[in-house]
Parts: sequence; C-alpha cells; structure tokens
Amino acid sequence: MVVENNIAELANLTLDHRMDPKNEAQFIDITDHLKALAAKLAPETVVKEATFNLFEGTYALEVCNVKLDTSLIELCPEELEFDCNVPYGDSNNGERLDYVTAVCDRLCRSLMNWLHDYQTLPTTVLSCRYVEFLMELYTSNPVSSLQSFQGLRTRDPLYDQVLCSFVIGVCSFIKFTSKVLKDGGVYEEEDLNCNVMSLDMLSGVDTKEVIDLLNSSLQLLVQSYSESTHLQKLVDLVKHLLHLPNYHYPSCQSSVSSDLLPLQKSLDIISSLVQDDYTTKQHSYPPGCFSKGIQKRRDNNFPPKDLFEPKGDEYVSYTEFMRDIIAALSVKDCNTAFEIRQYVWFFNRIRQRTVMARALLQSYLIREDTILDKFRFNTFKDMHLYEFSLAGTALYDVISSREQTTDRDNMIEALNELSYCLLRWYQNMPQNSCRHRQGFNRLLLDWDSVQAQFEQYETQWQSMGIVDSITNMGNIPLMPVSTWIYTTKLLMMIEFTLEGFHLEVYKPWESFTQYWFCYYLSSHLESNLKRLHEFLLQKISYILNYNKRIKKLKAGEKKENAKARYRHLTDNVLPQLRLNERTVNFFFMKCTIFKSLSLAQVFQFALLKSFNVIDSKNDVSTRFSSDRLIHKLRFKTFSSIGIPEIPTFEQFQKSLNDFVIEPPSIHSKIPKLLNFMNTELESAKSALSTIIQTIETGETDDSPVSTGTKHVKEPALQWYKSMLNSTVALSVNASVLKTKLSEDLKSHDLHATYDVELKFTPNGCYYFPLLTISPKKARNALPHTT
Amino acid sequence: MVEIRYTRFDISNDMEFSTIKKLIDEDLSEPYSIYVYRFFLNQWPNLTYLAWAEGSGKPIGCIVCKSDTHNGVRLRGYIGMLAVEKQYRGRGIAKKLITLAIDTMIDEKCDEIMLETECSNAAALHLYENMGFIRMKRLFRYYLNQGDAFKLILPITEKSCVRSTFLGMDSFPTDTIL
Repeated sequence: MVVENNIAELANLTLDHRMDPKNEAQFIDITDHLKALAAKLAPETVVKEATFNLFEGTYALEVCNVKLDTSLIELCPEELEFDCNVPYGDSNNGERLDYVTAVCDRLCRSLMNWLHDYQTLPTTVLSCRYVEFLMELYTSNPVSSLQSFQGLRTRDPLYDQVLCSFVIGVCSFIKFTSKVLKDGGVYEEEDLNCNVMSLDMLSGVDTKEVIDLLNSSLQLLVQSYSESTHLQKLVDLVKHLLHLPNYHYPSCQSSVSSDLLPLQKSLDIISSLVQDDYTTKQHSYPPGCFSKGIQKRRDNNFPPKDLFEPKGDEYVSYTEFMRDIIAALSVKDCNTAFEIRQYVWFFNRIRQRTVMARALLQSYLIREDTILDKFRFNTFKDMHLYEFSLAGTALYDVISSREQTTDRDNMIEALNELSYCLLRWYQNMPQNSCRHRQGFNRLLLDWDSVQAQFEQYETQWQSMGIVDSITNMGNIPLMPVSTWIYTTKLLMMIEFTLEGFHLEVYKPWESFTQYWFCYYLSSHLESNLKRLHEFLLQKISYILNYNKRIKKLKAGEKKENAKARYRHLTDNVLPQLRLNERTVNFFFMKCTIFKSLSLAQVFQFALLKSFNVIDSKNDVSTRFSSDRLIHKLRFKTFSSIGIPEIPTFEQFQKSLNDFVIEPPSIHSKIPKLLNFMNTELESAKSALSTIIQTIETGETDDSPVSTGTKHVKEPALQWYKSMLNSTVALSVNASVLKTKLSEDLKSHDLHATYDVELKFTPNGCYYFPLLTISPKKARNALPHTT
Repeated sequence: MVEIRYTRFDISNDMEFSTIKKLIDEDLSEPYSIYVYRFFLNQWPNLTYLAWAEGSGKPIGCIVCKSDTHNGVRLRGYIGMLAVEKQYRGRGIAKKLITLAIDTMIDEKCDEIMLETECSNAAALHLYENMGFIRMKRLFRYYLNQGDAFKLILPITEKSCVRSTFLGMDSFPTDTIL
C-alpha cells in the first residue's frame, strides 16, 4: 500500500514540481523528459561525461549486472549480524584465545596472499570485519595518536587490546606498503594492488606508537595467557614487519637503517611459525568474521570477487619474502660501482623477487641524488667510467685536475648528462620481467642518443689535444666515454633480444634471426672490448716501463717530478688498470658465451632448415602483410639504432642459407655441422668454467677475470651454472635432432612430419630454450575469445 | 553442414546488440560493463561483424573492433572481442570474422592491427599467429584473473615498423598499404 501511494505521488511530480519544505524525501519523475530526449538521439550516440573514456569504462560498475555490481553480493546471517564489539567465544574454555589466534593467523596469512600471491586487499586483509570496523572508525575520526582512538569495546582484553593492536599493526604495514608503491619503482595493479577501498590506513599514526602498542599486547599475552605461544609469535612477527620503514629512504630520510638484525630475527620467528604447523582448517574464527561484505558496503572499483582462502604455505612465503628483502638491502655491502652494477643485475635474475624487495632495492640504493648515501650520483657515474675505460686516460687527467678551466667545467657538465641514463638503467633492473624488457626498449633510445652525442664531444676534445690513442691499432682513438656507452648499449641490446626467449615472445621460426642477431651483437661487443683491452695493456706497459725513463733523466727537479708521477701511477693507476683489464676479460668471456650458445642455436636451426622442418619466415598466410614487414616490425626497437648497423631482412635470409646443408648427401654432412657446433659449445664451457671457478674461489689479484659478484655470489653462480647446463643440453639436443632426422635416410623434406617447439630445459638458462621436434599434430580447436 | 553467413553489425538492431553482449559475456574472462560494449559498437559499428547459422534467428559469432590514432602518428586497428558459440567452433568461423574485420580496417587505412590475448590461450595465439600477427611484448598480470597477456601486432604498412618518436604524419607516406 505504501509503495502504491509512493508510485502515485511520483507519477504526479513534474520538473516544475515545487519542493515541499516539510517533506524532505521528495523525488521528481523525469521519465517522460528522459524518453523525449532519448528519442532525439541518433542510435550511435553515447551519453557520457566528457572525461569518461574506455579505461574508465573497463572499471565501471554496471548496476544490476551480477558480474559487476558489488551491491548484489548476498551475505549470510552470520555476516549480517556480525558485531565487532561482541567478545565471541566462551571465556571459560579458552575459546576466545582460539578465536583471536585464528583471526590473527589468517590476517598474517592474508598479508602474504596479498603481497606474495598477488591477490587484492578486499579479498584478503580487508575482508576481515575487525579491519573494516577499526579502519572505518579511524577514517571517520583520523586521530594522530592511538590514545584517543576508540578501538574495540568487547570488554575482553584479548579482543580490545591484543586483536585491536594486531589489526592496527597490519593496517600500519599496509600504509607503509602503499607508500612504497606510491614512491615509484613498481607498478600499481600489475605488481601490487593497493586498493584500500577509500579507508584511511592510520595516516596520522606514527609507526613507533604502533610498535609500542604491539609490545604491550605481547607483554599481556606473556603475563596472562600461558597458552598463547602461537599468538605471541604472530604479534612479534607483525611488530618486526613494522621495522621495514626503517629501510625505506623516503619514510626515514635522516637515518636509513643499515642494521639488518631485526630482519634476521623475523626470519627466526617465521621459522618457528612454520614449525608450529598451525593450519587454518583445524582452527575456526567467529562465524562471519571474514566476509565479502566490505565489497558490498564500501567504494569498490573492482567487480565482485570471492575471498582468497589461505593455501597453507603462507609462512614459507614469508621466508622467501624476508630473504628477498634482506638480499635487496645487502646491496649496502658493495663498495665499487662495478660491484653495485653486478649486484643489481643479478638480484632479480634467477627468479622474480617479491615485489616489496624489488621496490625497496630501488629506494634503498637510490636516495634522491645519492647512491646508498655514500656517493653522489654524478660521482657514481664517474666511478662506472673509471672502473671500466676512464682510468689512465688523458681525459681523466683533465677532468680530475685541480686546475679549474672552462673546458674542464664543460667536460664535467657534458659527462653529467650521462647520469640520467645510468639512473634509468638502475631503475629498470628490479622491474618485473615484462617491464624489464620493455624498459630496455625505451632505454636504448636514450643510450643510442648519448653515444652519438659523446662521439662528437670526444672528437672535439681530441682536437683540443686530449687524445687517448691505441698505438697497436694504428693510433685509433679510444674514446673512453663512448666505449663505455657503447658497451652498455650493446649489452642492453643483447639482453633485450634474449629476454624475448625468456618471455616466450618468439615463435620457433624466429629463433634463427634472434640468435644470429645476438651473435652479431656479441661480435661487435667483442671488437669494442678488444680496443679497450689493447689500450689497457698499452697503459700497463707504459707504467711498468716508466722507471726506465726516470733512470735516463739527470738528477734534479724534473727527475723528482717524474719519480712522484711514477709513484702515483704505480700506487693508484696501475692497480685500477689491472682490475679493469680483468673486468674486460670477464666481458670477453660473456661475449664468448653469448656467441657460442647463439651459434649452437643457429646451427641447430640450420640443421632443421636443411630438412625443411622449419624456415626463418612465418610458415603461414601473409595475405595481409609480408615477411619483410613482419621482420621489420620485430626489429622495430632497433630501427633507429645508428651503431651497429642493423642487418636487413635480406641479409638475415642470406646468412641462414650460408648455414644450411645443401644436397646431395645431407646426412653425411651432418657430423661436420655438429662438430662445428660442439667446438663452439666447448668454448662456452671453458669460459663458463673460468667464471664459475673464479666466483667460487673468490677473486684475487691473480684471478683471470673480475666478476664483481663478491656480494651476490649465489645468484651469480646459479646463473652461470644454468648456462653451463644449457651448454650440455644443447649438445645433447643436437644429437637427438640428428637421430630423428636420420630415421629415414631417403627423405630430405620433413616439413609435413615434424612440428618444432622451443622448450625450456630443467636447470637450464631461460635465454636458451631448445629447438625440439615432435610428430605433427592435427589442429582443429579454435579460439573463442581474445 | 549448416551454412554460415556473415553480416556487418546493425546499430539500430537491439537484438544484435544484446546477442553480441551475451556471446561475449558467456566466454570472456573479463566482465565488461554495458559501457564497454557501447564504446565499441556505437563508435565503430562498421568494424563489428556477425556470423549467422542458417535457421538460427540470432548471431552465433561476432567480432568487435575499433580503430583510432595511436600516439598521434599511426592508425591502429584493434580487435577487442571475438566469440563463437561452442557448438559452431572448429568450422573456420572465427578466422572468417577476423578476415572480414581486417579487410575493413585495411580499407580504412589502418597501419597495423593490434590485440591482446591471454598467454595461456594457445588456440587464440595459434589462430592469430597463422594470420601473420607476432607477439610484440608480454604484459605482466594483465587480466583480472592474474594471467599474463601477449600483445600481438599485424603490420600493414611501413609505419607500423617505425618507432612513434621518429614518425611524423606529415613526412611519412600514408599510401603504402600492401
């Protein structure tokens, strides 16, 4: 009856309807107006707010669409009636302690489900009614001290003190994590979803106060609840998590901690929690305590989603989480630019590190304009140059001179332009593997541009008399800065190319082109390194023979000056030159490894091509495009690169033909091809063994190479051992291919017989998946969606 | 074998709109709001095609696309949605729908066609890659179901193969469609 009356009243309303000041609940029926206006619209018209675009649209919630409208979520009676101010459980039989422990345990696990398993906050931590209740309280009254915070009012200290402080601790950690995310380094949504549903996560509360509160709870548990061991560990763990802001530069600008002991201690707590074997299935919490209700009640930009139930391995994940963070912060132990470079390169190499560790590495390493608060960024860039190609050069003598001149200042200013490129390189390394490759796509533009710029600068500096010639190479100029830039750029080009295999971007038919290109780039890198190596030997020889020159001088000021210079050269320059020579040797070995493994892949591709099993062109319809255009698109990243010249489509095709075995007697020629391949693989093995042995035994002045991996030993060893495994796997794979291809000695066209796949080998390097063949399968299934 | 005919979407036909929505909603991992459908279908009705089975009063498959300027330098066609009813799969309907859409996008001078698909959707990857699309990049946790995606591109003109930074609309030939 009430409804009917309302409908009748609504029907009488018009746009001219006058508001009745006594009746607050008034509505105006605009149906007719809407219909009249809609009738005038063309069918294709979209009525929308001007700023609402497709991106907004994909996040829009559609009323009454059960897949999108969170208000349609149905809650059970326990969820509807749940009251955070009721002390659930029997106070006499320990049920309350069980309940509180279970809630805290699940919250701890939920944190890991969010941070480690990439789940969202509303389906994990925020699904806890106590979290929602307490943060709503705080949001409506954001106090600056917890002393004036209302909290829970069950009149049971387990709830009001322990559970409340625990929730506050967890929320304070979420606040910190959001801050880490906002400060950049990792990507919202894909790396971490920080949707706090417009709740204020204790913005005004100091972490120290939260830690004090957790300490009080711990004290209470120890004193009054003898059966609370598991709960005590959980409280202790959250308390230790709140030490993390001490290592985050923007969170504590004045004194970023370098003491990792609290984090080591947290590993002990986690280990103890793993041993507890406390499973969520054995323990229950108050019914309705974890609920989808928050998605229904609060702002939500996401479609309804089921709660993420803990899987049971969360404390194992905590171990990895904390170890990754400790690994990230251990970058502090590095002393040289090369060590830091190597540390950052290997940090995220074997597997993608947990998002918090990747974010913390960046903020801990790069603190405004310094590195680790040890070196200003421009100095750090100079260190990179000095530790590679600048030591012992005439250019270094000028820029390190005490005498200030306009030319020197201009040179320093020019060199400082490199700092930005270097900074971007460091920021790119801890990204997730997809972003990491994309990052190179952009970085290559910058580095190619600075290379062109510095070749001009260094030519100009030569004309000013600052010359570093390589005598044994026809007095060609070294150009130390350009040499470093070119090396870095080539390494990025190689990495970008090989990461495509890791991310499964390439199809098997593309592998020849990519590996041949990698071989080509490595050869250019090798030539570049040879120039530098020759220069370093020349300089070392110059210093070693300097003494003979002194002997020829007459006693006097000139001789004394020469002696002083000799001391400076032997004490300072010579050790660095020798170290740089070992570093260059390391890069030479990297070249050998890349070249040999790539060439082995090229040989195997050529073997398959010889039997028409595969071709380096897409074996499909190119009705809409062409092989040449598809090739050009694949090499788009390098389309603007000046040096080295990028081979044309035709050059790639010709190269493949050079490797292919021509009839007649294809089978009898296979062993020769495999012999070539195995010789290459032996070179790679030898280089890898040298690197591995050097890392394992520790680097000395007598080591053949300098790897700079002293502080990142384990990941570096794993990386090179995975390459060694790939070397073996490639050799075995070649034999397998030979056997399969030789099954029918009369057939040289096996196109219709075999499918080719790129397969990762267990423990092998993901840059070198194997080209494998299997009997062709019929394909009927078709896709349904994109 | 039931004969399949293909038509272009008629924006004034509500049944066609609601059937497209139903076909996509049933299969897609991402739930789309009505706005997403309207965004595509109202602005680019000419880039949506339907497949009809003989005797069926409603479409049994559809492809939904758009085309607009990318980075202000090239015209990019985009395949947003593709669906074929389960009982009609395996008959080349999806391939035909894609072909119709690409032909129209080429007629409209698109420089490239782009789409994203889940890395785990082997069938979709196989179909598109057999038409000349290549995987340009992998997108980490692109979908709401946490899955990674591949971004696939089919180059139509030279413009597709040049970095946007070096591509000026005025200086580059626009009539190089193959």
